[in-house]
Amino acid sequence: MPGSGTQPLVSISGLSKRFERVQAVDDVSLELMPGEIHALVGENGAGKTVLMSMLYGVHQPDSGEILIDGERVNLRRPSDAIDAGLAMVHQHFKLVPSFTVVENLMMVQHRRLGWVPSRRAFETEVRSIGAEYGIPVNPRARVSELPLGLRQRVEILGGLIRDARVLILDEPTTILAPAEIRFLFGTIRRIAAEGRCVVLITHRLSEVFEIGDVFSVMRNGHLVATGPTSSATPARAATMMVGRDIEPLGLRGSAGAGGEVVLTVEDLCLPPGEASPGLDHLSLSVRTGEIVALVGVEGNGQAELVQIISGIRKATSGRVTFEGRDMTHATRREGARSGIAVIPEDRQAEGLILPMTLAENVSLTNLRDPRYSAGRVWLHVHRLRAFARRMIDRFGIRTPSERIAVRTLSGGNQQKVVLARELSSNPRLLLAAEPTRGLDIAATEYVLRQLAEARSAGTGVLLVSSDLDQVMSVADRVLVLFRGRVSAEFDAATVKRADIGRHMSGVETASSGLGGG
Amino acid sequence: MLRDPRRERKRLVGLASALVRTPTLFYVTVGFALSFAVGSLIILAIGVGPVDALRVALRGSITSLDGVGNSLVFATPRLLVALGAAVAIRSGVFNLGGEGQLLMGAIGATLVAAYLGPMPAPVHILLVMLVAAVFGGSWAMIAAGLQVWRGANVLITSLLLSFVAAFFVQYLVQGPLQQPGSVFSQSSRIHDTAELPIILPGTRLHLGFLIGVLAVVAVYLLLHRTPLGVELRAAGFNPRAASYAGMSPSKLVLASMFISGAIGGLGGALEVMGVQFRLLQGFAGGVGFEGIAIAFLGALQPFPILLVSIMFGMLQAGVIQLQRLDIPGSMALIMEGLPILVLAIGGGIVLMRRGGR
Repeated sequence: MPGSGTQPLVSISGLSKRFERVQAVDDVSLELMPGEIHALVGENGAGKTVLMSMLYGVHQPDSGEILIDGERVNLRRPSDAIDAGLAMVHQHFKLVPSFTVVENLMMVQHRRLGWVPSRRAFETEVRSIGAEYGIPVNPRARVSELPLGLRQRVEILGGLIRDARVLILDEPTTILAPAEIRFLFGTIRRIAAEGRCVVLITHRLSEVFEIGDVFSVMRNGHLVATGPTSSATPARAATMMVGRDIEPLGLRGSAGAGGEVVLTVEDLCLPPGEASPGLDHLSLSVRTGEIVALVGVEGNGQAELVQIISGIRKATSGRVTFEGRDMTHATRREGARSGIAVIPEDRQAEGLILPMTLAENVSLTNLRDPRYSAGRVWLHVHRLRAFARRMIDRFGIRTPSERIAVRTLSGGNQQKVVLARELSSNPRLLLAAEPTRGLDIAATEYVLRQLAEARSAGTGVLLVSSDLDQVMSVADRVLVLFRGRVSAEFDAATVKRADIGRHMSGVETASSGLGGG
Repeated sequence: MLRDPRRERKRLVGLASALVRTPTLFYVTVGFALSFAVGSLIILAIGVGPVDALRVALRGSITSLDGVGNSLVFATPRLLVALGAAVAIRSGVFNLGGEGQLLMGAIGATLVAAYLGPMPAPVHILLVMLVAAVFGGSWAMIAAGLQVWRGANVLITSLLLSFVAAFFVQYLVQGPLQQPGSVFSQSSRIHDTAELPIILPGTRLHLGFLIGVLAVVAVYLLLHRTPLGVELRAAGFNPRAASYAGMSPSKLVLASMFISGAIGGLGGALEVMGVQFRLLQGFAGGVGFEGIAIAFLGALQPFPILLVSIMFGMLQAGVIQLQRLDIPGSMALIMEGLPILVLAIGGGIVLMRRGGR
């Protein structure tokens, strides 16, 4: 725990920032103490990242001041913040994929003109600092070949090599498996134990109470609470985040629900690839009116399976049957026409065309529908816009208009656009890959409710997720994916999380997984 | 939907402010002014009075009826190639082969215009345009097919195919299509019924310019009002998301290249029917490459491309007149290159500020 008499490392007072019509941060004051693990929580768009970006020199505050070691500083660009002893690990990593770990780290440290130090000496330093903090990374590995969890470690290492005293981690856990999260927390504790301050931006409350010494809650740009974690409960913190009481979802079903089989996957095979174990005689089935959750540590074949069922990738052998029809070689368009809806894993890269308007995005799959185009060659633009406005109402998308680029929407609202597009066709099968990734509590709850609603409407739902909380709150059956095959199946109503966890890490199937620390 | 007058007014205000804020216009104007200033210095160094030069250049491009006509005539083929390039590039396909597609279009146009007919003028003209579009589009499809089925980047193949097309034209006008009895490298003259009518009496301005303006509107409508156009733009921005939405990116590559090449080919037809009246060696003279620069300077948007094309047409018309003042022909090249350079730098600044497309 931080001492109470020491001087704060960073002291923010009265910071505000406005982006056009949005007051992103409004008069926020905050102190970061040495040796402190400070959890900054809040929903998407609450202003956490903007606040930290001002501290990191990415954005300039409209008013207010920042003191580092008691001295007022003017951080005009990230290099100013780096010189002042700050380091930030962004949600989207800033590494050069084609460079090796050492090359990337040398780049962060030696951005200015001057001689580049010997690579070998630097490698030794990377190894020794890595060992000191328990972050083993091969300095010669090419970043493009590293899994996301390791890339994150490289970024953290970059901060440590510069001897940063304040390390800001923006949503570091969203991309990690449970074992990797434990590992990360171990590293964070070591870093803080040396008198550095770690700021953890997150919206997972369980993490706040697991690792945070101090937590601060932001809502709509305001700092609504700050204090030691020992003084609060997760429930209270959650209420502060959303500004209302949260009720348990109560959406969980149980195995045996559902009607006839809508999707059968038999013996699907795909050779192992660079970062993937491929698929190894994978079989599963989904019934109408049930939610089947497919869980597993990322990179065990989820992405490949989703692509094959979607129809944008071909398996080397095996069969995909949908409503009795062989869909193994169907294209995505054929799949969509016969009633398979897909919520892709990465909504920005796969789900949406960010620079295009909401109306265009929500109707991408309907463009040639006779209701919206005359003879498939001329769009009824007004009908499409009316359709988009109906979707905005039905899915509660918060946007000034249907003619705004989806890039400008928040993550939750972007996901609603994808949901609206995919669910508006009343699909027989919904393939949802990580549909709540990066979403805040309210948006997550919303998405899960939509999945449950689709289930009630008789849709078969295959939910691919690495978030056990989410899975446990909505699924009927749970399948565990390990190294390209289904290694276990559970009834969601009776299974214990620990059992799922053991199968996810491969403990139950003879060989142990990679993740452990 | 009922039209709400308030909403309508808001739309107009929005449109106006967008026009004012459009960096394209601003940078294009500043770019031309800057390059003109630099050009004046060079002219001064040669020993000609810049004021005289300006007067001559302006008369050749803006201040005389004849000049205006010439400007728009020069703008026309550039406009069409630029539109074609914009369609492809916005679909994510870097078609740099506008020159070749224009030449192939010109070949197709000459075949129909000179060797078929005579027939009623409207029929003849439309037939020439159609065949030229098919020729240009098919030529572009070679590059598209090489990318889709063989993985060769369109950017390279389309560019190289332009040189193939140029040599093919040379072969034709010195061989099978050479005007019988002529010593020049040129084809026979086209039939009168395939000539585009003059739309501004006393000038060279032919119907082709209006056809180009129609093409501007057509390209805008294609990209924003047709399922195909929305799909093309979607695939251009994000092919992965497009394939998740059920589109076939490779089909869209083929479609965008065909349309792009067809528009370029149409440009060749207008040049044959409105200006040259035959196929000649050195027919395009780099217009196709200029068109690509124009497409980018016009931010790949049809209406700004129209404006930039007209400016380039004026420049060309003005600079040609400068040769009367004993300013060397290479000066014309410098004057043409300068705005491209200045504008490219300006465009780069805009992109950097916005942080991407």
